Amino acid sequence: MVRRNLFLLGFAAMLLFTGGCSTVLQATKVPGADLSRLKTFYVQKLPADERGIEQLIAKELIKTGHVSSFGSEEKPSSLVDAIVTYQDKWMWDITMYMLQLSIQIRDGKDRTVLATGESLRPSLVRKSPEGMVEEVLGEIFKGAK
Amino acid sequence: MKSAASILLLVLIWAAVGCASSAKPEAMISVPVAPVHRSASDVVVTAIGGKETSAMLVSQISNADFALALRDSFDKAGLFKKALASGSAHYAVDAFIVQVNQPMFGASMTVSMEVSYTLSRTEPKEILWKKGIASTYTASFGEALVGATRLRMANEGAARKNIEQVIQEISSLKLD
Repeated sequence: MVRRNLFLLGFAAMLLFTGGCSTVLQATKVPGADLSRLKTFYVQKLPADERGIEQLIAKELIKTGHVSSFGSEEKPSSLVDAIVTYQDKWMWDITMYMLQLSIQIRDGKDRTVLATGESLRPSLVRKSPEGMVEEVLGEIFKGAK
Repeated sequence: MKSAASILLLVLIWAAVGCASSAKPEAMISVPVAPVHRSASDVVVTAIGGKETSAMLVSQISNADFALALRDSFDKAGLFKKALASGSAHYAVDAFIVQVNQPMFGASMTVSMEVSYTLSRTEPKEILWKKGIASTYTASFGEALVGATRLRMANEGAARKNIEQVIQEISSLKLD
């Protein structure tokens, strides 16, 4: 009986963990888009975001040598090279963690998309929100400079 | 005997909940009810920004499947003379799948999708029209009991509605 329960427990854990370590990190750029020309950014806060992810994105952009501001308005007060939008998904596993972060880089004038990036990290390979922001932006701008 | 039944049950639960399948091109085809303006020229249709589906993760929309659904929809609507996957044509439509926002759980699953389209003339190369189109679709519990299937259907519905809008937009340009 005990052996059977142990076996079942092990099997269930195996099923759970098979999908638990799959990570996704990818970015796509519009053919011909030159991200190296983008110097000034505005990060538009996602209305549902109460964790200040827009500030983390702006901070990371500044860290990587750009000029960045953030806010709730759809348009910034002054013209910028690019507008950044994002979506975050969170899950609970002992503590809350960021499961997925998607970021879009849009043209500052007409908001057409220039590039997108995404990271998905299940609980076992979780990263801090700062780490997720850093890796998604890193993937988007890889080779841009 | 009981162990075998328990294992079988676990496998069935895993299959029902965890195994995702990609959005099907035929389920993303949109056939407009209103007549559209027909261009006498061919068009090459491509898509980027989509994702392949991993059985361990959730249902996604791939570039190839979305481009195929776009081409079949254009052909069925009679929007161009012929929609091609590659080769030479007078026009080109490039679709960039910007985001597919999916729920993680839910009885009803709503997927929202944004696609950025660019329509160009190929000779000489000139961008004629550019627009981001957003669409949403809710797959209700009654449409499919299995969550993974319901999510795939929500993906397909959002794609179908997106294609429906792009057909109307391109039709209104009255291309030659």
